[in-house]
Amino acid sequence: MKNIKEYLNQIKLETKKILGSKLLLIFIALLLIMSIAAPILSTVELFKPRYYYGGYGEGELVVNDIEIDEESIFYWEIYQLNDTKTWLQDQATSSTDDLALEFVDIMLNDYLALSKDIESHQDYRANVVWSRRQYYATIFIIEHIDVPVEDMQEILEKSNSYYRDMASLKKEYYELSDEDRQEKLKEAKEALELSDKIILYGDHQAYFDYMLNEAEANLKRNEEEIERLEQSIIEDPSNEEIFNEQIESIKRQMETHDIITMPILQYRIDNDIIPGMDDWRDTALRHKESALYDVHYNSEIKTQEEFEKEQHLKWEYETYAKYKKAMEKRVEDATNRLQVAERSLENGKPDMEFVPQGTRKKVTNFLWYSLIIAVFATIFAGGLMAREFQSGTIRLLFIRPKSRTKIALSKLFSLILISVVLYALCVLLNLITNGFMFGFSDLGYPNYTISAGIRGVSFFAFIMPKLLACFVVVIFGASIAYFLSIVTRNTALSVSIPLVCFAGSLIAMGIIGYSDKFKWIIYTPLPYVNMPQILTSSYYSPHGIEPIIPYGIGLLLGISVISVIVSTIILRKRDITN
Amino acid sequence: MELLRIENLKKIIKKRTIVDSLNMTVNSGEIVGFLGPNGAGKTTTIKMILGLFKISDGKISICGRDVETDFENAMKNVGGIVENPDLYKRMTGRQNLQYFASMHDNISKKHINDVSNLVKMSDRIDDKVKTYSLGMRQRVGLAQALLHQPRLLVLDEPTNGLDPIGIKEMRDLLKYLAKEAGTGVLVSSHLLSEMELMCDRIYVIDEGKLIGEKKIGATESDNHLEEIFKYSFVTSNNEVVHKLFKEMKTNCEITNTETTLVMKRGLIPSIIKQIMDKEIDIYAINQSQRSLEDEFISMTTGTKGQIK
Repeated sequence: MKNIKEYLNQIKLETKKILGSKLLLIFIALLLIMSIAAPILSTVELFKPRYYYGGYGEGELVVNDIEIDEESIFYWEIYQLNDTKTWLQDQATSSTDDLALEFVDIMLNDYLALSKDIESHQDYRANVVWSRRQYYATIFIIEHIDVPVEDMQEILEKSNSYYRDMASLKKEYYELSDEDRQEKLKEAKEALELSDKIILYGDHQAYFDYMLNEAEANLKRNEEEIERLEQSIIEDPSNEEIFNEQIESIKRQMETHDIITMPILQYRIDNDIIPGMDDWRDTALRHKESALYDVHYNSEIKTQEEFEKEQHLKWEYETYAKYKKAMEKRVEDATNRLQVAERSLENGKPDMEFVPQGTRKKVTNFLWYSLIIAVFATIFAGGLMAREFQSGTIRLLFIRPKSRTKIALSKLFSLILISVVLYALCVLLNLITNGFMFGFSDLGYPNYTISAGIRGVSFFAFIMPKLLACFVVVIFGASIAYFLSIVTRNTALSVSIPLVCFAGSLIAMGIIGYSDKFKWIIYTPLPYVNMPQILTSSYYSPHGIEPIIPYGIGLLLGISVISVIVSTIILRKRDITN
Repeated sequence: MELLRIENLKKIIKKRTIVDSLNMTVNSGEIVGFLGPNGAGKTTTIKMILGLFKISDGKISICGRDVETDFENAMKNVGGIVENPDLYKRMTGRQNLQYFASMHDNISKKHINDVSNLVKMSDRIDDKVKTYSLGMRQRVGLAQALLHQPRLLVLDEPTNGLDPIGIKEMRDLLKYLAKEAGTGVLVSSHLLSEMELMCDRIYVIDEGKLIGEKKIGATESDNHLEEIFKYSFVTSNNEVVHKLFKEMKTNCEITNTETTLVMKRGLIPSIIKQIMDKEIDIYAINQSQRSLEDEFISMTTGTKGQIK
C-alpha cells in the first residue's frame, strides 16, 4: 500500500518534470492542433482526393463561345466532335459532308448544353446522358431515310461518332416497314424526351422509368443474343460446346434481372431513392447490389476438373483448394456486407460505411493518428533514462532514497500516462470538430457487427476497443525505446532504432503483405505495428497475409512487458560508471 | 555516534581489484578526509557508499542501515556529490533542487531557500543551470546534498572549480555543520593542504588499500609542545641567527632572506629570547606543516609525482 503511494508520488513528480520540457509542450500543442485541423482540411477542395475518370482534358477548350472546363465530364466528347466538325467544314465538298456536319452539330450542341448542367460523374443524371447519341442517330437516320443506305453509312462514318455496319443499318432501318420505322422514331423521341425530363427537371419518376426501360431493353438484348447463338448452333453444330457455354453465361446474367436488378430498382422506386452522394440509402443499395452480384457469381464454384482446364484460374490460385477457399471467403464476405446493408435499410439507420462523409467514418479514419502518438512516445521514451546517463544527472538521481526500479518505471509510466491523455484529448477534439463539420447525429447510429448473427452496436462500443488496440502500439514503441535507452545509454540510438524499424516494417509489409509466400510474418510484430490499418480494412486480402488481431495485441503487449522487465533488471544491476 | 561503517569493502571490476579490504568509520560531528592519488579508488569507494556501484564483497552501513539490503532507508541519512555536480541544464537551480527535494519526505519551499542561502547561491538560484560556472554548479551540487538535512555527507572532491574564497566558504560551512548539527562528513581529495585545514582525521588510500590513518592533531588553540615543526625566521641578521642555531646542534639552513630550523614547538620561546638577547630584530616567524606531506609522500609509494 505504502509502495503504491510512493509509486504514485514518483509518477506525479516525473510527469511534472517531463511536462517541464518545452520541446514536449510544442509537440503536444502541434498534435492537438493537428487533430482539430485534420477534419477541417479534409473539406478543403485542395486536399480532397481527385477522382480519376479516364483522364482530364488537356488545356481549356472553347467551342461556340462556351468554355469547357478541363474537368468537365464531356470534355473529350466535345473535343472529338469539335475536331470532326472542323475537319468536315474544311472538307465540305460532297453532300454527305454537309449531312455529316449536320449530325455532328446536333450532338455537339447537345453536349455543350449538358456540360453547363451536369458537372460530375456522381450526378445521377450523368447515367442517362450516354444513350442519347443512340436516340439522336435513330432520329437522324429515319428523318433522312431518303438518302441511299451507302451514303448514310458514309455519313455516319464521317461523323466519327456513330458506327453501324451496312447489314445492321439495312436490317434496323432501311428494311423496316414505314409503320415500324415511324414507331421506332416515336420511341426514340420519347426516350429523348424522358432523358430531357431527367436532366433538365431532375424528374425522379422519369429516371425510374428510364431505368426500367433500360432493364427491359437489356433483357431483350440478351434474349436476342441467345436466339442468335441458338441459330448459330443449328448452322454450325461443330462449335456447339462453345456456343452453349456462351448461352449458359448469358442465362446466368439474365437471372440477375429478376433477383438483383428489379428488386433493387423496385426498392428505389418505392422509397424514391435516386443515385447520389447525399443519400446514404443509395450507398447502402449500391453496396447491397454489388454484394448480391458477388454472391451470385462466386457461389458457383467450379469442379476440380473444370478448374484444371482454366489456365487463368490456375495461374491466379495455384491449387484447387486455394481457389475453393478464396471463393468461399468471397461469398462469406459478400453475405456479410449484404446483411449489413439490408439491416441498415430495414432499420433506417445506416452503418458507418454508407456515410463516407459522416462523423463516424471520419473519426474511425482518425485511428491512424495513434501512430503519430506512438512516434511521439518513442521519441520521448528514448530519452527517459539515456539522457540521465548522458548528462551525468543519473549520479544525483540514483542516490535518492528511492529504488532504481521505482525511479525508472515511474518515468516510463508517466510518459505512457501523458501519451494516454494526449491521445484521448486528440480523439476527443477530433470527434468534436468532426461533429461540428459533419453532424453529431451520425454518432447516434449503430454500427453492425457480424459474429453469430448480425448485431447493431453503438459507435462508442465499436470505436473504443479499436482505440485501445491502437494504443497498444504506443506502449510497444515506448517500451522498446525505454529498453534501448537503458541498454545503449544513448538517446539518439534509442530513438532512431525503433523509428527506423517502424518505417521499415511499414515498407516491408507494403511489399510482402500482399503475397502468401510470407504467411509466417503474421506471427511477428511486423504487421501489427500498423494496427490502425489492419483494424479498419481487409488491406492485404484476398491473396495476402491474414493478421490475427487478438494475437497481435497480445504479442505487442508481451514484448513490451518483457523488454521493460529485462531492462529494469539490467538497470538494477548496473554500476553507474558515468 | 558512528554514522558510516565500512567493513572489508572490496570492489572487483573485470577481474581487477579496485578496492581491497577497506575498513573505515565516520562519526557524528567529525570531518574525515579521504586522501589518495588519482586512481587510488576514492571515487569507487564513494560510489559504493552512495549505492551507485554494487559491492563485490564486504559491507557498508549508514546509520546502521545496510546500503545493499536497506537502500532506501540508508539513503535517507546521506547526501552526496560524486565527481562533477551534473545538474539538469535546462532547468533553473531552484527547479533542480525542487525536483530532488520531492524525492525526499517533507522538504518545504522555505527550506530550499535556506539551503540556497547557505551555499550563497540565492541570487542566481532562479537562473538556468546552463548559465552557471563550474563553481556555481558545485555550490548547487552541495545544496542538493544538504536538502534533506542528512546526518552524513559524502563529498567527492567538492572544492573542484571553486575559487579560493569559495573553498574557504565551503570549509567553514562543513566545519559549521559538523560542529553545530553534528553532521559527519567524508571528503575525498588529492590535495593534502586542503585536508589539513579542515579534517579531524584522514584516511590515506593507495591502489585500493588503506595505507594509513592520521589524526590531525591540534586545532590551532591546542598546545602540542612536543610536536616537531619546521620554522623559518626573518631577522635583521640572519648570519648570526644561523650561527646560534648551529651552536644548538639543530637541523638548520640559511637562505638569502631567512634561516630555517626543525625544532620542538616547546623550545621556540627560549630561542626567541636568545635572539632578542643578541639585540637582533625578528620580523617574522613561520611555522610550516610540511611534515604531514612528507609523511603522506612516504606512505604512497610510486605515485609521488601526482601529489601536490
